[in-house]
Amino acid sequence: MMMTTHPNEEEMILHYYGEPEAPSTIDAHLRDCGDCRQRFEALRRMLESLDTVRVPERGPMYGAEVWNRLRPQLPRTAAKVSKAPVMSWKSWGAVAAMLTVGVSGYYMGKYSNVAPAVTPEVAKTLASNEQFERGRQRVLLVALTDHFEKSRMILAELSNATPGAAGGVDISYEREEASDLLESNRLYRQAALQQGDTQAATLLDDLERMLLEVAHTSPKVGNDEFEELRQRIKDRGLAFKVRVFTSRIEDMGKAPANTSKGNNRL
Amino acid sequence: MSDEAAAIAAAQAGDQDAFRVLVELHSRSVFRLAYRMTGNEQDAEDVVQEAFLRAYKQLHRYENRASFATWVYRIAANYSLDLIRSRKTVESDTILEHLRESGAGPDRLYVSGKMQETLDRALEGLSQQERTAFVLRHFEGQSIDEIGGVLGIGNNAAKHSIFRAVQKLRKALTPWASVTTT
Ligand SMILES: [Zn+2]
Repeated sequence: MMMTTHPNEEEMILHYYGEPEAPSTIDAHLRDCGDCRQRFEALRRMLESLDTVRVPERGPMYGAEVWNRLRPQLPRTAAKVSKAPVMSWKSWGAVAAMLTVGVSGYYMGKYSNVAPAVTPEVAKTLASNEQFERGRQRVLLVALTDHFEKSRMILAELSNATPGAAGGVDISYEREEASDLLESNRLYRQAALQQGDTQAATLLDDLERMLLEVAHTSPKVGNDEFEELRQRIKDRGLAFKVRVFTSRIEDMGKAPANTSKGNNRL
Repeated sequence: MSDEAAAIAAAQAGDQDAFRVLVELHSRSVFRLAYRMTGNEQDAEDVVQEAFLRAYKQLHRYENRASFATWVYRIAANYSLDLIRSRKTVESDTILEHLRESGAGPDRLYVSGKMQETLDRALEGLSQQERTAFVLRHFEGQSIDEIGGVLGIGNNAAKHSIFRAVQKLRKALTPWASVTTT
C-alpha cells in the first residue's frame, strides 16, 4: 500500500535509524517512489560517510592503562586500605611499557643521580602529579614482585618435578607460563639497561634466557632432556638470585612513601 | 547475577579491584564516545579518566535501572559537554565558509586526505547537545529514548537534536558524500 504523502526528512531519519516512530509504510513507499528513494539514498550515503571518521586505536591493554592511571586517584574508602591488587600479571606488561622509566627509577634508587631518559610523551603522561607518582610506585612495586615471584615459581616447579616412570615429563604448564612472562621480562630488562643498572639487567637477562629456553622446550620432554634442563637451572642458581632480588624489592616497599621523586628512595 | 552485576555490587561495597573490572570492560567504548564527542585525543583521554573517577565517587547512586555502560556514558557525555563548553566552539557557518574557502573540489579533498578533516569539522559545527545526541544515535546505536535519558531531556527534544544535527551535517557534507561511498 502506497503512502499518499511523501515522507519528509525527519521521517526518513527515523526510518534510517530504525526508530519505532518511523512511519511503518515508508519501506513500501520507497520501493514505489523513485524521487523519495533517491532522497533516502542521498541521506544514507551522507550518514554512512560519517563512518569513515577515524577514532584513534587503543591497544588491547587500554583498560589496564586507564585503571593504572585511575587507581591512585580513587578516594580511599574507610573500611579498606587496598590489599595487594589481584590484577592479572598480564596487565603489568602494559604498566611496564607505559612507565619504562619509572620501573628502573623505582628499584634502582641508588642511581638517583642518573637523569632518567624520560621521553616528552612519558613526561606528559606522568605530568609530575604527586598523587599519580605515589600510585605509580605502588603499582610498580607490585608489578616487579609479581613478575619475579612468578618466574621463581616456574623454576621451582621445574626443579621439583619428578620424571615419569614411563619416561618423559609434561612441562606444558611451565612452558606456557614462561612464554607469557617473556614479554614483561623484556620490558623490565630494557628499563634496567636504560637506567644503567647492570646488576638488575644481568639478572633479568639470565632470567630471560631461562624463560626462553623453557618456552621453547617441547611440552613433553624425555627424562634425559628434562634432567639437563633442570641441571642448567640449578647451575645458574637463578631461583636463589631471583629470591634475593625479590626480598630487596620488598624491603624497599616497606619504606614510607616518598612524595617527591621515586628515585630517592634508597 | 552476571559478572558485571557482581562487580558493581562488590565495587559499591568498597572493593576497588571490582571497580577495576568495570573500568577494563568499558574504557574502550567510553574512549570512542569521548573521542567522537570532543574530536580530540587528549580531551578524550581526560574524559575517560574523569568519567570513571566520577563514576567511582557516585557509585552509591547507581541503580540497576540503566545498564552500567549507559550510566557511565551519561557521565562521560556530560563531562565532554563541560569540556567543549569551556573551549571555543566553532559555529556551523564557519564550517560552511571553510568548505567554500578551501575551494577544493570533492575529488581533491578526497585524494588529498582532507576528507577526515572535513568530517571532523562537520561534526564540530553541531551544538553540544546536537553532537551528543547524534553521536549516541549514530555511532553508539542508542535509541532516542535512551538518549533522552542520557541527556536528561525529553524524548521530543532528543529527537529534534538529532534532526537538526543531521540537517547541519547534510548541508556540510552532501557535496562530498558521493565521493566517500563510491
Ligand atoms: Zn515519494
